[in-house]
Amino acid sequence: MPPRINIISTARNLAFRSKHNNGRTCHASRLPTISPYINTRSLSSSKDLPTSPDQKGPNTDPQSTGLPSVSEEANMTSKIEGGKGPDLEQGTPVQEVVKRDPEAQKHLPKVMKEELKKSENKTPGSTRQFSTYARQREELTTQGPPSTPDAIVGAGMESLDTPDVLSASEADELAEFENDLVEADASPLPALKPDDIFTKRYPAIIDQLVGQVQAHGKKSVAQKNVATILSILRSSPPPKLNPARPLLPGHPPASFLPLNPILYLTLAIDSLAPLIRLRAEKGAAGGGASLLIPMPLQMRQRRFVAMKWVLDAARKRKDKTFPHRVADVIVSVVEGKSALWERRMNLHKMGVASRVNVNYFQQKSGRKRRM
Amino acid sequence: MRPTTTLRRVPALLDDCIVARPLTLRRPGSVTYFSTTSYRYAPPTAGKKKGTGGHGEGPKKGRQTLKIKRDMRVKDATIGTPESRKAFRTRIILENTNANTVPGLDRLTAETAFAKESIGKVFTIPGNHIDALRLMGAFKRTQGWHNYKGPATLIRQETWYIGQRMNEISEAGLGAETTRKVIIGERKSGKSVLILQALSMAMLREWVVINIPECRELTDALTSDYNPVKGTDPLQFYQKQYSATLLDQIARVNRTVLSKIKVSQSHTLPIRNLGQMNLHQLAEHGAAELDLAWPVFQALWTELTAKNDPEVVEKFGKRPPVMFCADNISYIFGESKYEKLAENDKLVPVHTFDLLLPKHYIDLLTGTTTLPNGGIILGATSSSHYITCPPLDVAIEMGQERLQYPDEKLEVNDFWNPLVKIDRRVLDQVINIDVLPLKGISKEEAREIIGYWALSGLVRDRVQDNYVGEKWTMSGGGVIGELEKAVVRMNLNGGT
Repeated sequence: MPPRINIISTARNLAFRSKHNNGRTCHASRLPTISPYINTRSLSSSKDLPTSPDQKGPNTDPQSTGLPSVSEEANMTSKIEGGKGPDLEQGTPVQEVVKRDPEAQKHLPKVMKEELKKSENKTPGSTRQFSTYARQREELTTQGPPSTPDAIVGAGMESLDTPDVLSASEADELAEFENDLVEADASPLPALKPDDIFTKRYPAIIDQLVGQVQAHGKKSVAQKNVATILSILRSSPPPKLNPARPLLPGHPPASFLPLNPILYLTLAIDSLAPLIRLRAEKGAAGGGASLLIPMPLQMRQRRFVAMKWVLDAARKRKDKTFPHRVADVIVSVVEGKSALWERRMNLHKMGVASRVNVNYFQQKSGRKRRM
Repeated sequence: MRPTTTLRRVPALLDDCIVARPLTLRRPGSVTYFSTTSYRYAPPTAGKKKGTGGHGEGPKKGRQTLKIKRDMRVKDATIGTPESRKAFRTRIILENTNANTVPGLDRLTAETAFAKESIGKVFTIPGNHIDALRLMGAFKRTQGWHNYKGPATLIRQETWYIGQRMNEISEAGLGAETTRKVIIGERKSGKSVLILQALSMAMLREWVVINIPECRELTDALTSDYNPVKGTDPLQFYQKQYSATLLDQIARVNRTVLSKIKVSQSHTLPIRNLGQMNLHQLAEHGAAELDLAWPVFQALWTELTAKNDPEVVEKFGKRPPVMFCADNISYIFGESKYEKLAENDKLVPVHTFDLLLPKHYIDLLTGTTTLPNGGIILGATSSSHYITCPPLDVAIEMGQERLQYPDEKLEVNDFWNPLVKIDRRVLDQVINIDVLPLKGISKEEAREIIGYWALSGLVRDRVQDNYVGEKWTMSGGGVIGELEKAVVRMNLNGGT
């Protein structure tokens, strides 16, 4: 039986012990050099540190110095004031200890002395070796074309050159300009709304319709067609809604729809989109007959079906161009005239009729498990 | 059993076989088979045909053959002829009844169009100009006119500049100078719309306006015919059909202006009562008869450029300045798609400088011919559908340099890429053209036009400084077509 604790691996987890290298993969020059002093000294040895004869540190006894340690003093003061002082268990940094003791400062190591000096001169230098001015001045001074057409026609680089000596008015202008810059910088950036972060270039429904209209890998043609469809919706008269064919609840009034063609399209597609699809499971009804099983559809799938219906219906229509045909179907869907509504209703009816089969797969797997 | 043939008869039977049968026994036309077996005379039995796998019959059951399925997909049901469908597809719509009417929008008039205060303001194009501009092909399909209640346009710095030149020429009268400009600028920077504005402004000042909406149509050998002019070297060609269409356009658009001017000179034209005609009637004659179209155009031009001497003005009417514009000009600086027979009996392309109508315009644009009564000649390059023209590019680059450093003397060699083949005939002609560069509009102008779009119901944001600034930056510093794309089309169709 192997030992429960792997001593070697435990030791390796300690920071000071490097992983044992058997030298197969490591280059010879990178192998650790063996020093006689390294392994002979253990850090846990009590002999290495000097111990004070009375078991007290140099600053630990308040009686001997007349004062508590810096941290203790701060702790006591804040207690009187009702606050919470520094954590005494953490110990006091040497820098703080020697802060008010110039004599002790003299005996500090060189590094700490320099640090102390640095912290005393807190004001940074007035010059910087690099520029932090991110904007180009040129851009700000010339916004848009120059003011007179003669300047356009005869425009040179003069406007960008700055004269060596500024007149009084120019100096004022420059100061004002720089003031404006400061103010502009000080103003907070507008907060980003969730919609401002564009992860997608086009609205999802537009992307999907473009994908479905696309044929033979010609995406730009599809995009042009979709743009034309929307443009036709934009210029078509407001649809006359049919109360017998209700659209999605909460939609805007009909007169608003042509003003926002994407909304128009979305309303038509989403209202028409069926909730389910019917899956025909072969032989499940017994005697080789297939069983219809209603399956729920995701949002994207529902839109896919509705768009397919619309595009197929458009292909059968007679009109001059494809976008006009599609736009006509969309308008007829919103107006409740389209035969696609029947199709949707029939599908839903069959779905209701076959709703006993909804749990078909669960039951099937259950039967298997029992067997 | 008794044998049927006795042995005694055998020699006689053999004799029968050896004696040749007479040839008359074979029926003429009968088939001789390479087989001694007798063929069956019986006709095929009537009944159900059975596949035997022979040639011309269906495959045997179970045998795999190549089957090509008919395409069962629903075909698009199209109606109308291809021409009518193209006309429908490319028609220009200038209004949208669903768009909101923008309140307080002024009309472009002789006062507002030329005033300095109008810079950065939007004006509607007057109703009587709309038909004329449509006839001249000044509205383009991609300019998005179909989104608004009616066509309106932003007066920008460059529009005002052309207006100023127009004012100067109108005031100068006799001996006025001619302004010639090639409008350049990146794609969607408003070059064609600037030509539209210039035409509209010229109509306000009652100038004669002529427009070639697309130079490609003059040279691509698809939309226009060509006929040689006898006795010319190199052989020149005139284009009957295009000249007639252009004359028709000129006659319709400039009806009121041309009706006031009478024919003042004698022309060798087979037209009756030519001396009593006005220029409108002359142009109509040319438009009606294809064979007369080009000579009439020449006659009309001679009449229009006759000097406005006091006695001529009194007797025949004052000749107004001319605004002659052309779009997408790179097509008429090089070889056309027309062909002619060279001396070595080979077909070579006709140079556009040998086509009389394009050459007529080129001479005006480059200053080879002058307009005694003044006028403006504008040409716009296109960055969307164009052909590269190295000599024109060199000339444009030099023109831009000349704008920046007017006093410097420029050397062609500094602009000439020796690795690119260059047409010297074109270069010599265009070397001194003036250019009018179009850049982005200013932020103030952008705010104004975005305000117009918003009031038309096409912006669903609050038009504030930061919004305008954002869109101005997104459109490459106010390139107006890009600005429209970022603001209007993004809202309309998600930017597709």
